[in-house]
Amino acid sequence: MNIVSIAIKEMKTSFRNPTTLFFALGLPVILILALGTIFLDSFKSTITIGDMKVLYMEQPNTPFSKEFQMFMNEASNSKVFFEKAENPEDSKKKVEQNSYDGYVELNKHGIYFYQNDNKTIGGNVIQGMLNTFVDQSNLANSAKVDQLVLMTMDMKDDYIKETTIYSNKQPRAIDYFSVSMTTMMILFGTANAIHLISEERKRNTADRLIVAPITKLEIFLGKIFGSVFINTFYFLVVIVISKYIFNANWGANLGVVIFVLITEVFLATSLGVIIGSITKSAKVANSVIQVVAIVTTIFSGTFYKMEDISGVFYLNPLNWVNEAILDLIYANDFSTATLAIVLNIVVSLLFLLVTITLLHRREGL
Amino acid sequence: MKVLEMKGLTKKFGDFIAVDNVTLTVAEGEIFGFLGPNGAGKSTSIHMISGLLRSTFGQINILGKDIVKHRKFAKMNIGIVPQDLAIYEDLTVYENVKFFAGLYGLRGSRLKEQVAEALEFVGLSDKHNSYPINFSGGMKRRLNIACAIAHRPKLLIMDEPTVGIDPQTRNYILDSIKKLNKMGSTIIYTSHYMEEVEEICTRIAIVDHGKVIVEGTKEQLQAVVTDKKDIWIEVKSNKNIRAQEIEKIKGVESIQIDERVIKIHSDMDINNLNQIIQYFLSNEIEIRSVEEKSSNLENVFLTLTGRNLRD
Ligand SMILES: Nc1ncnc2c1ncn2[C@@H]1O[C@H](COP(=O)(O)OP(=O)(O)OP(=O)(O)O)[C@@H](O)[C@H]1O
Ligand SMILES: [Mg+2]
Repeated sequence: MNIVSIAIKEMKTSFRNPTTLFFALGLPVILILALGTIFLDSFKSTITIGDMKVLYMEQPNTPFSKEFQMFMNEASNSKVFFEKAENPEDSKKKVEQNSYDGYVELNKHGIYFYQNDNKTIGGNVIQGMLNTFVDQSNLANSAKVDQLVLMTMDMKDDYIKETTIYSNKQPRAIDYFSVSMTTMMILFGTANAIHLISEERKRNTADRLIVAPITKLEIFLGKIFGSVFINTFYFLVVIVISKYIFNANWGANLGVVIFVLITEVFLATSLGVIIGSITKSAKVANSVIQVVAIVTTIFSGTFYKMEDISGVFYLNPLNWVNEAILDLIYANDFSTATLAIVLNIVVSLLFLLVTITLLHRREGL
Repeated sequence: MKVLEMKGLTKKFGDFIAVDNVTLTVAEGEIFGFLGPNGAGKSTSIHMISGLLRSTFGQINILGKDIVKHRKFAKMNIGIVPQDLAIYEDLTVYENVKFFAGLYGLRGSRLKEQVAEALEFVGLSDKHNSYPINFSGGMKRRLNIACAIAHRPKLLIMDEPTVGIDPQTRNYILDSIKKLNKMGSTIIYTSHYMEEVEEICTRIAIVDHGKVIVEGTKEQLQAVVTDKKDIWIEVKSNKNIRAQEIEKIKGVESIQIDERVIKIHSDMDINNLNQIIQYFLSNEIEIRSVEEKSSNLENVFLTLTGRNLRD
């Protein structure tokens, strides 16, 4: 009960702080709109690349054979040239060696598209074109099958990565920045969390809390929960505005997306309290958080689109969260989301444990 | 009944001893004054009683129970008015008091009732929905008190609650303290204003450098210095007064110049009033009034320590 009272108080004070409101709600909305507009063009796939070569193989009774012939003819106008393949294994090898941009197999169930592991731009373009073909065929019902399906295959272990025709729509600028600004804003919540405890000390209210018949742990948990709740509320508002006013695409797995974001809020809050508890003064804490914020933002796909996040870049929470959400929205892929959720929660709990231990040792709050 | 017992209470900060072997008892119904100059160890003692600081040595009992063993019980029965304002400026007056009272387990209509009562008590009833950020110092002090009394503690500890406020609010607060006491609260009142302590306290301990130097009722303390008197001379202007000159007069021990009131501390047995007045007249200093006072707590402190309570 005391935890609830403290959490509610925390939410009230946060909500009444105009600066917090601006950074949590105003700024991300403005940035989404601004960046979404500025980068409108660069996100359209108008990158000029050289000729692209695709191998294809058709099973005997493919119902949409004729339509695909027409598609291939049209594709040549876009400098995508299809060549009939000799045998599947050989073709896949060629794609793997990068001599071809992709290999397409047609049968009565749909289209199987094999592309190189290191997704090339060419591979993406072809994938996009195939997608459009599938969409249009389904719309006009010209494929003579109930539902034409495009399946993109990973070369290495041959497992099906993306299976529905909804997959692989590429994000527009507004879609992309809706995600990256939301995750950035959440991580910047760390800056508020470093003051969660020190604020009480500054106002001397820490003393009142300590003399009250409640435990330090209750005070601490109340503040953490309050912070997580109010920041969750803030990002939900940003999602609603971007989704319903800017028509940004948040995908079909919004529940999971929100859960990933909540764990990010949790991470930002616990990162804040641990910085706040190990630094000597608010000034030092502020400098630390500024460095953290700048580094994480620069080395992330926050203001530009990162094609491939790997290696050390993956150690950046912004990257693992962004990747998780983009995969949820555009690839229907839950694996990166699971990893992000586990990472966020484990790291948060670790931070909280250290903070609680430090807090327990000290007299007062 | 003993509301508070301190036995051999000691607090060290490193090598520095802030509170030194203090043993005191406060009985139910008392307004107990804790008088001492800056740095005497008043707040440190209070912090140990309230559980903000751990004592280095010694024991504290609240209502007969050890506060270390019965932490929650002790906390439930204590209310603290901290020396420094401890309120949330972004919560309304009502929300502030309600939040803190709520931490003592009050809920629902009882909570509302007691919060309203506390605000009524400090005269902030018409300010329920105001934010304290724009309040005067006196109003903030009153809110600071309301936050400590809404849960109706048996023992209310006030650490210099009248610091930095206008005389009117100060009187209001002192009256409220007497009223609270009549309603059944035992009060510990900390101050370095001896007038306040003299006015409201039923028993007083004078502390200095962490030690209790004397303890008793006002009368008992004054008896310590019956051989001294105070002569207060109000003048039109204190311009031409040279303290060293007056100190040469036989019997005079010390002089304090408080604006236009010259406070002369002197031996009781030596009749030097004529000589003192003569000094003023011969230096053409206009006298407005002369008062001879029996010894006050200020003098008790002076006599026992050789220093003024406030420097
Ligand atoms: N946390 C601390 N660490 C070190 N020394 C401290 C600490 N707290 C208080 N002191 C020292 O202990 C002494 C007593 O301080 P305390 O605040 O109890 O005095 P006080 O009687 O309340 O004075 P005041 O009238 O100024 O409030 C002072 O010399 C102070 O500097
Ligand atoms: Mg003090």
